[in-house]
Amino acid sequence: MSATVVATRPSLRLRGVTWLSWRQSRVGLLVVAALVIAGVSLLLYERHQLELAHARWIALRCDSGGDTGPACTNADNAAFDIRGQWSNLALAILALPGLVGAVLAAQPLAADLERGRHLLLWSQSVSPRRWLSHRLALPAVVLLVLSTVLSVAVRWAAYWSHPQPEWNETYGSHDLVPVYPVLTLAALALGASVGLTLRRVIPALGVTLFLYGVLVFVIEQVRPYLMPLHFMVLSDGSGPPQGAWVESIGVVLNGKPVSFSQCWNGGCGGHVPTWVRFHPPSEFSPMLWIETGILAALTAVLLVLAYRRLAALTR
Amino acid sequence: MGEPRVGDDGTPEAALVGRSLGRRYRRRWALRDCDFVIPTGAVCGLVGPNGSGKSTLLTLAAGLRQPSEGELRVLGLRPGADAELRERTAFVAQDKPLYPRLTVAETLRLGRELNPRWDQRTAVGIVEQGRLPMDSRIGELSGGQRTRVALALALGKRAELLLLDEPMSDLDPLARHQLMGTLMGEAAEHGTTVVISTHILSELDGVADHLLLVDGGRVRLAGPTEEILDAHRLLRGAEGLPLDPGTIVEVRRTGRATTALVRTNGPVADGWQVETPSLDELLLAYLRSPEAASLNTSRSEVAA
Repeated sequence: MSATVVATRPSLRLRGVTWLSWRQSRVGLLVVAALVIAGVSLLLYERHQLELAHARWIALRCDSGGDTGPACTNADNAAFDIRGQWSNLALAILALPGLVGAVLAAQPLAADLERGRHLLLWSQSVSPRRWLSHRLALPAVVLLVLSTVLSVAVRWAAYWSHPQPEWNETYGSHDLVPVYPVLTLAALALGASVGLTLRRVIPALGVTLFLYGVLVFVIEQVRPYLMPLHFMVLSDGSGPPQGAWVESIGVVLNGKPVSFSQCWNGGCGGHVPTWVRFHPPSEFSPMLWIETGILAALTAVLLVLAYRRLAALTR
Repeated sequence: MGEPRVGDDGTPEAALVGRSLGRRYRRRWALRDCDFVIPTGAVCGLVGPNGSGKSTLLTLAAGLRQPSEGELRVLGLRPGADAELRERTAFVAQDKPLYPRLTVAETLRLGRELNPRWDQRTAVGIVEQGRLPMDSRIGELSGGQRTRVALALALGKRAELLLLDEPMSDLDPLARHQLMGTLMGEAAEHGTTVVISTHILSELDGVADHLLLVDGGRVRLAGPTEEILDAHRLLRGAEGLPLDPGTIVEVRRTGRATTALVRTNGPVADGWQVETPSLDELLLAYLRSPEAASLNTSRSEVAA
């Protein structure tokens, strides 16, 4: 029997609700682990391919003007293709927390309530609060580890392996290390509160995915304003520092910064100064931490909501 | 916490005490003004038609919901609020919710992991009595077999109070008889108080020493079965025989004969053939006559 096998390794034996939590979410967690391993492998492989293409580009002296033959075009296309694949991978990585929150939190909790199994669980010797805490703690810990591994790999491949810090358009900061693990926890907390609120599997799954999409969209809109933007009017020889994240550019008309679209009314003829709003590379890391902090606060709020729902269900 | 507990004073042996107990779901009262006492060690039949409030009462006793008014004490404690009570009561919900993907062995492990007083031998014994393979999944079992596993889970908990919501409703008569025997044997051996709700009245015959008849959210009959039966008489006789209207629970006319259930243990008019009613006859008579006055002999215990 399994009990005797486990007894030889007592330190690994899961107990109480944690055992139940593992029994119920082990398949999901193993699938997520496999996906993370596959994602990291793919990432490292493509990073390597990009390096090869880049090395080829340098070796052919494609950047030194002159002869840009078919070999240069090939190298250029290869690098371009890899960047395209990276953005697909980035999207898949971004979708993962939403799926995890729906399948590992919203679905099981809603199913327990829909099928009346909460009556079974809550009439054991464990209080509903303790049950929920342990029920969520195990997947939270496992997912924290997995998402950290994945997002460290992303940040290494996209940033740390470059000699210079640089805003990278391909990987939004939600895929990067301090943000992504907390985003995963937020999605799990979201799934838990939606599951406990709706108490039906299909709506809980759908609403969790929808709200996660809304969350990602809102983060995207808010991100440029997490720190004040720098503003500068470009003159000859001056410009934003290398690697800056340029949020918007435009022209100065009648002493006012306006967008380029104003040029359609005429008036942009001749030499018109342009302006730029940007974040310098030095703000990259602080902004990631601000985003992380906001997501951590959101996670806390969602958890409070989940526990309040739970209390309402036993009132 | 400071208020006096019913279980503490006057009736220290009460397993379940309700005082003006009521529970509302949105605007509908599922239970209202319920007073009753069930002593420890009793096997109490909780009877009533569907939707009468039986499940609500058991849910409150299991601490899964809180009363909207009045109070309920289980072993002197407040269910749901006093943590200590959790391991002392066991509850089997009506549909016997279990995890279909878990095996029988894993379901028993669930009981072991979540209950400090767990008695694996008892639980395994009950499962083996039904010849259930330990490695079959719950989803593959029949309704009766699932009931057996649910009961094993409840009995393995070694609770002092067992709350069972229509546990035998989906069993064939043979399995019902066998499981009831197991249940009563376990309860007698450990002095467990059992509250068992049912609408199959024959299930209770010779088993329930206490009775709680709930109808329309109110208590109609409460007290020891013997006492309640003894307070009633079943009269048979020709039509037109005199009856004291204040005592009538139900009168039925079948052709020229009349059958009446009356609440009295005193003398009746000549001509009646007097019997003590069976539990079935008594409960059915009350259920058929919603306007008959209720009888609560357990309430006097509260007052004492």
